[in-house]
Amino acid sequence: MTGRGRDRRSRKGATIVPIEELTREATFRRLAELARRTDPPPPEVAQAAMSTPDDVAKVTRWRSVDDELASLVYDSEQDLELYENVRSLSSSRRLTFEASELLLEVEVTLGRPRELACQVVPPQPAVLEVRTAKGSQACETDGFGTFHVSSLPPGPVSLRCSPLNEGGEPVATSWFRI
Amino acid sequence: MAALVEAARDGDQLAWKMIVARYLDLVWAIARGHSLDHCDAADVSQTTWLRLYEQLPRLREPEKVGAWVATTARRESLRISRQRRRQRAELLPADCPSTAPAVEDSLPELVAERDRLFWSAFGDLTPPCKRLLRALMADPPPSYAEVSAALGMPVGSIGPTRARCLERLRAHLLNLSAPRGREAL
Repeated sequence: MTGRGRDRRSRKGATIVPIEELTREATFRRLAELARRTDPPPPEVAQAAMSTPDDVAKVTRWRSVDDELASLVYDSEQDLELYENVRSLSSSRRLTFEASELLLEVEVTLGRPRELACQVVPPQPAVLEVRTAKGSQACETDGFGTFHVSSLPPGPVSLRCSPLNEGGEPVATSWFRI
Repeated sequence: MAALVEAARDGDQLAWKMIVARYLDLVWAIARGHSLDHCDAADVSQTTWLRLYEQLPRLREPEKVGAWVATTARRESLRISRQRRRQRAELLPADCPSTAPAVEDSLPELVAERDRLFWSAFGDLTPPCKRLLRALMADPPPSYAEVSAALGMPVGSIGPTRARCLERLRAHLLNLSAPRGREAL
């Protein structure tokens, strides 16, 4: 470190080793230290993650264990991945979520703010709740099981569908980003 | 970790926070390694944590929660990268106003100068090297199984790839520092 007097000291007193004398591991340590110092997760990201169980449950009045989880079975973005060279002409994304008794077909328009159109299959009246990390809004579908919501901010979303027909059990989709 | 997952499943807030604290920086590092800006990396983090919370009762191998989190963060990062490319291609407005990378002005000059040099050399690496090194830089350091999940890369090739990427980084550093004279650094 003192080699040939080329090391310099910053005002803070940190020793600066000449680049060519840095070993591979020293280079990595320096980089890791730099990431910790200059690129940590912002406090609001940490706070949101820490408060997830409590606040999301409170805000959405919902616990994941109570609802059947509708899993993602189709996502047009995955198609784009498979056919990377095929340019999609539409600026919307289509997703399908499947539960035992129903399907939720979702179309997201990628403008800003996001618009979301949803179709319950088979068509039936239901209450659809759109949940974001900041809160939720609920609305009844029309008689054909369609539902439209505009002005959603980009970010994670989950839909909860409570069929109004007798015997219909609530279904929640996994969280997806819009 | 498996015990923490069990406890968090039963609604133990502290257990949840401990799981988050363990992997918070890894998720962030994975997103940042995919060259996502702060706003998109925050989105990836949020989605990953919401997914984990939702999946806690269903995780089949709770001891592998770190790998699960890393895989989810990688997939979300890839998804958002594709979405951004598409939005640019279709001239749709960006979701996040781009923010300049934060270089602390308050740092002593020499340290700040070298920080810039390191970030600049890191920025010149290939995307696979950036993804790997950024994930390895996470605090606390991830296990190779977690890095493997974060990169979609076999555990056996992490070590050799890491060494190659670090050599490239050193070459970039030397290149960048040479024309300006070593004395200034």
